[in-house]
Amino acid sequence: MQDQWETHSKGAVHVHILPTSKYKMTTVFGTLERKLNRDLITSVSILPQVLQRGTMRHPSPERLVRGFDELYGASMSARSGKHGDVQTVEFVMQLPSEKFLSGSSGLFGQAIKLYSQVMLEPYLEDGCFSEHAVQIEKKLHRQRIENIVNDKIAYASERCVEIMCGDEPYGIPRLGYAEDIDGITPQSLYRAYQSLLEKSPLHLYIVGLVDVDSVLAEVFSAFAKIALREDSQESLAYRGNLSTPVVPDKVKMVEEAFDVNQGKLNMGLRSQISYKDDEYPALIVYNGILGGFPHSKLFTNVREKASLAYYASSRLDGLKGLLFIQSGIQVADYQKAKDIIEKQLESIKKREISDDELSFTKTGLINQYLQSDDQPLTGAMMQMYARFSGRERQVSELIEQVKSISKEDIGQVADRVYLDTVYFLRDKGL
Amino acid sequence: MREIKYERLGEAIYEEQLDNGLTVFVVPKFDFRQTYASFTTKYGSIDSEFVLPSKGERIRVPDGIAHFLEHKMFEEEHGDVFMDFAKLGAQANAFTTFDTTTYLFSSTNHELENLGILVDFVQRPYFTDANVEKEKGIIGQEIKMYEDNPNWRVYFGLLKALYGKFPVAIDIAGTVESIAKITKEDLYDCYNTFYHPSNMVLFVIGPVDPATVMSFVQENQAKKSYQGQPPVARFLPQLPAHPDQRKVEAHLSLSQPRILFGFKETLITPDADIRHRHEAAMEIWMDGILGKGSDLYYSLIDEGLTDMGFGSDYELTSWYGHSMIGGNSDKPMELAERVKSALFEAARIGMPEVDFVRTKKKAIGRFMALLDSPQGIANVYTSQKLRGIDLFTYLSVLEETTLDDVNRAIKMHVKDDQFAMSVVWPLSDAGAAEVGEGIAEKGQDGTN
Repeated sequence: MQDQWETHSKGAVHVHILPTSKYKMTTVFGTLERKLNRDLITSVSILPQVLQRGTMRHPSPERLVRGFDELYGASMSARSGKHGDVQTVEFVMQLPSEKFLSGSSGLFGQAIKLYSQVMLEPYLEDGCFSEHAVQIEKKLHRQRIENIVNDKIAYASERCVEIMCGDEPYGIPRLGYAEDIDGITPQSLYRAYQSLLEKSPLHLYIVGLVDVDSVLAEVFSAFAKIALREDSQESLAYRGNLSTPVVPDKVKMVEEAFDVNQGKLNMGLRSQISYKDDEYPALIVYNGILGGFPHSKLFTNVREKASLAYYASSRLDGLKGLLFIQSGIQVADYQKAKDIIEKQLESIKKREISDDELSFTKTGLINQYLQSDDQPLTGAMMQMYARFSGRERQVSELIEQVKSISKEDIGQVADRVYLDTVYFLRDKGL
Repeated sequence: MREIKYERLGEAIYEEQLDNGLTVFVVPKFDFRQTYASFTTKYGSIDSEFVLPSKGERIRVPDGIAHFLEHKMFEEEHGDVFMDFAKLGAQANAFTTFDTTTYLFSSTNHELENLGILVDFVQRPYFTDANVEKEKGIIGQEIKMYEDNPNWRVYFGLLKALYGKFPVAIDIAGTVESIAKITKEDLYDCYNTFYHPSNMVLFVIGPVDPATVMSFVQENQAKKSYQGQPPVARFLPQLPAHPDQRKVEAHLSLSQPRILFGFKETLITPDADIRHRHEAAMEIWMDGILGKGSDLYYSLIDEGLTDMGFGSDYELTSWYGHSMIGGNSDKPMELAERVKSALFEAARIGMPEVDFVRTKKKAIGRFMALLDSPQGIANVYTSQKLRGIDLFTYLSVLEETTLDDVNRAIKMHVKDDQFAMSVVWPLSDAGAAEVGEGIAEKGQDGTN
């Protein structure tokens, strides 16, 4: 990890650059960030789609795409994201480094200019988004929300979050609500856009074979509008980043039936520990022991020993301290699978962790951390997490912390893990 | 050890064929943390009829057996190979395609030890009646998972329409019925036929010294006694001249219909160079006419015929080839007709030069992006190599592609008698039914 990030700020623009010869592509990742808000979620998640429908200079979506295509197929896409209790609008661009293409000098400068125009100079009619563009994107967005159900694995996992965190900000779905769409107008959307640009700082990550000084000059000039205003945003880091209630008084059980061949069993758990806490590394190891790997308890017991499933795993949302278990099973095996899973949760609580389970999990996690260094945006994700949690962590420090975790540390995490929700997507039966 | 340098790309590949026939490739990438290695046999879901080298006897095996074998390789007499990799912090996996089966790992440490585990477990089959039976439940759930997946269903629906009984249309995992018939004897027959080193390729990429890797593999292989084996005699039925059906339909729990359509390729040739050039020409025109920057793409969206997931893909081998185009649509038939007529128009008048120049540049950029992914290089290089093509020459092939090549490719490909489609429709009452919403008292049903 000899390559080092450097950060330069001007006004509300924060540029983080990782100059490296490792990649043939240059990656640019920009985010505008705000707290999740029930009333604005739907508008803000349509926004990136509308922004991709053209700029003043490339006033239609295909002309905008062609503008990027000309730059050796620079790819640009924008989407809304949800990270803990924060909603983001993210813009990713990738383009080949000039070094590998003859006659392409100035490529990055042109690309960042075009990229900034998507964010700052969208195509407007009478000072507002076009009626036509907004109407089409509203329809597409409604369909996008309705289509979540087509992928039953993703749908079951979304439903589990929704049922578990219904009243918390985190229960708000990433794409917002279909019933909000009708009320959105070009004017209301434009106001949401302006408020986002005026209030959110812009964090821009640039990774690749670039010259820092010229990149900074190009970026600050392209984003002058944001660089000229103060960064006045209050911290996004919640004091208590945790979900509430911390300890559920009842386990919510929901079943839904579809015409399907396979049942999806999803379980949501609350841990009371999140990214900012000292116990976080122990929580990571807990999740690894439970279901993060092929050697984990879930895969070994649900799949390998009982032959009930093809997939059985758990994942951790570190910012929220929530754990989610998922498995695809025969509908008739519901009780059997649920019992086996609950037995695994119990066994960790009883400190039934073998030496192999502990050491394989640590080695596996360390390998994942080291391997994440081969992804251009890992550093960007770490910095986002730092902003959203209020705690800065380094990969190297996490590795050391993971190494030091004992079985008792994991047991103490287990003592604080509570099952909150069981969601079962099943067939319609006879 | 042969070294091939690609100066402009800043890449090099090292190649050696060992005495037992195994081909080894090493690509050093010293800037990367991870080493990624794959061990591939030229054996996939289509190879269901072949001659057993030991007995000289022609046999037919159940559908889905190559994939079943892939699952079973991970089990050893001493236990699960995943654990051996886990001990060294490596991530292991495997996948089966129509014509290959690949075993792989990635790790940031102990790369030679992991490489030893990879090569050894794939070269040491261990099948028992009990472990074969056990796997049927797991793969049964894998099959059911795919049955509920609209992308997979519409994809195999189109293969079925294009190829009928030709083996490409057979589901890679088989069916619950076909895998029920698999025995450990079948697995050994397939294993002994297709896992001979001369039918396999080992690919290693990462911060590794090629000479060290080569001598490690050499030593490993020298310890194993393989008898020479001639190339496997496989029996593939004749590729039908035309699609089997114009349309294949299915119904699924969905909120919106999904369609894929395409043309069966008529340029089927053993000449890898011709195929490589044809692939480049196809990539350029398909993006130019159907891609996000085309006139067509956003018209389709704005007319309410599809959404931004609309896309296209092309595949070409020495024995089959096809395009696939489509996405979600409320009016799938109308979408297919609109696109088809745009393609016939393009075949008639050719592609505008400005679009050609633009999409060719874009194809070059996309190729460069692939080179940043060790896994991408390993997978694409191996599958292309087994089809006789050197991936790293794609940049020059793209650059040499002319507008004439592209226009010829459109004309050759877009033929009405090679067209077929696949639609997955929503079931009429596809919505969710509330079955039960209960709350269990804490302590009774929870973990606490």
